Amino acid sequence: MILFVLGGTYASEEAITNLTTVAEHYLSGRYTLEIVDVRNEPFRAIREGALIVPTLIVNTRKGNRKVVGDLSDSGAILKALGLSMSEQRSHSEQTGEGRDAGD
Amino acid sequence: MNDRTEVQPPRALVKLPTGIPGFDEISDGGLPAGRTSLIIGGPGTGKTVFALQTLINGARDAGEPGIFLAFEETCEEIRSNASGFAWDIAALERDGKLFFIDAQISLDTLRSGQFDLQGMLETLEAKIKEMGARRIVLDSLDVLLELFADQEVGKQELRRLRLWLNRLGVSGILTARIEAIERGGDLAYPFLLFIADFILLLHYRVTDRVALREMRILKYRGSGFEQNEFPFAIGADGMEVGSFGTAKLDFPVSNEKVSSGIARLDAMLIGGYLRGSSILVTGAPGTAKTTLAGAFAQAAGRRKERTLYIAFDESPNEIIRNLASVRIRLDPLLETGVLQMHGLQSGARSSEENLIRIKSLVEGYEPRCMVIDPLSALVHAGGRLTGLAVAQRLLSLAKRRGITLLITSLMEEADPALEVSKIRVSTVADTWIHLTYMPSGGERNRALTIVKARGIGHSNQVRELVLSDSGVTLSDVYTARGQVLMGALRAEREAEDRNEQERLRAETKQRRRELQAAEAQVASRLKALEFELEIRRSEAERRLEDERLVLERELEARRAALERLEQEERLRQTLARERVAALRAIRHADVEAQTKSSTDQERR
Repeated sequence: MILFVLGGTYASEEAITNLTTVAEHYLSGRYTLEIVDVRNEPFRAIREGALIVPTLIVNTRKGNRKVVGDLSDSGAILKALGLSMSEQRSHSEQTGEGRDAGD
Repeated sequence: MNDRTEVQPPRALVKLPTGIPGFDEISDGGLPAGRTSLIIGGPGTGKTVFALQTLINGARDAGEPGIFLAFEETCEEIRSNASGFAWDIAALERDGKLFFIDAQISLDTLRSGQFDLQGMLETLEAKIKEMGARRIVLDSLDVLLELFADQEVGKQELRRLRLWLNRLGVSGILTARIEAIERGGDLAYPFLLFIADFILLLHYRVTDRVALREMRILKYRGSGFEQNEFPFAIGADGMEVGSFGTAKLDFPVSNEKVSSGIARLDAMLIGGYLRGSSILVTGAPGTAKTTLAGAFAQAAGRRKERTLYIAFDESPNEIIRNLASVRIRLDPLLETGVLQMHGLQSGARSSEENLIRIKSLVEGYEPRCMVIDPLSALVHAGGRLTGLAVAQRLLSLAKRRGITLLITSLMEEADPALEVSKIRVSTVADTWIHLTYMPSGGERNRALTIVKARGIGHSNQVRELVLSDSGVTLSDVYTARGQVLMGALRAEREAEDRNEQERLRAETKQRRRELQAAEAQVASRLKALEFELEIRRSEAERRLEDERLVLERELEARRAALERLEQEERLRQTLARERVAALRAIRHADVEAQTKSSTDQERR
């Protein structure tokens, strides 16, 4: 997962917090997260098509999924990760098959 | 970012030329530089083309690199759509003058909570500074605005965008979709109208199954602009706006005549058409408009003048074949390249689009003479008013380049005056030739009238246009009891006339012979008289001579007689003197004798 942020802005700070909370809760370590500050790497944001900040790009086997916004709606994150809330809950109770959200 | 400076210090308005033909004229110089321009229109009205063309023209011609931010389509889609135009996008991209950013927000992009444009603007600013961009397109804005849950937020972010553009001095061209005009033409985000410095509305109407594109400037902060609707077309070179009327009328003028290809028509026009003028040939179907056009093209080609023949709704090959039947041969001219023929379809495209194709053909070939056959197909393609406008543009296109333009136009009415209000092209054309069918004596014949010919003294007479396998010519027509006679009636009349003339000729011959005979007679009499005169004269002379001789002799005789008389006189005088002397002597002797005797007596 790559999260494009703009350092020092409310929405970006929120996004980082919200994402790590959700990811830790559902994927507990079985993911990689890179946080890119577009101020430092603007051309990377352009390359990746992450113009709206914050943007979360999730690389799945089926392709990329994008989520824009401060990620205050965790349902959208889970959808991007290819998981539904109920599904994931049962998964995490067992061993967890959240492989969809690989690196 | 300096969001707080809502009030900008007044800056002189600088115009940003778009390079879109016609648009910079109606907007009095282009878009506002360093400000926010909004292009609104329904789907497929050409918003992206307008924006992209402005960007490309700036990058290529104005030294202003540009960024295209694609929200709605992928960059690949835009490149592929643009490849239909004669723009070398790849070269501009390679040279770093044009940059596409894929900002597509796909359908499966999820939205989660709040965000703002600050990050995007910082990213863009880095790119703008890197490539020195002066223009940026956001296509389309509503895709971006849809992401904002709250319109208020969208409005605020848009204001941020505007201030950001202002601060950087970069010209922003934003597109926004509206409902089709027929469905109310509502803008999804009405606040856009208040935020933009410039608003251009594009729309698209279908009349008679032909698309008609029009644009109108709704708003231009701090600048004058043309408020009317202007037709525009999207052709091979992109968008072109029909901004005739604002262009200046300073065409080169010529007094040179060019042949119409028909000798007798040239004679009617005192030498032919004027070089660089426009000639309108009107008439009902089958009145040989194309023949006139073909004759003109052939004559031009034979003068080695590049000629462009644009045929609507008829293939060039058909035209060539049909003209060959009246001895107009265009194929040899096509082979040498002095003539180009193009067939266009009028139905599928709007007038403007066809005009643009014609323009690019003209620019590519640079002809001296041009034929549009028929113009009516072009004019009627997109509604009448626009058609006239297109025709005017066509004429001025030709005039500006000094091209002698012959256009044909379908006109059903027999009386051209009735049609004047319908196709007002005739008011713009310099020379107007009208062809009609005149039914008489059970057949239809073609009649040609020169309705007007600016700058040329011309014959007002109606002539019959005669087409035959030996060529095209005009024939004098017979007027009998106010009716123009043609065809069989004319032939009949001609035969009658021929007989009459034959009779007259014979009569004249006879009369001449008689006169000649009379003349000879008189001449011989004259000769006789002269001879007689001569004789009489010589006789008289002889008589006179005789008389003179007689008189002379008489004179001589008299002179001799006179002389004799004088001699006698002299003799008489001499004798008289002698007698006097003798008498004196006698008397002397007498005296002496007396004296002697007396003396003797005395002595005695």
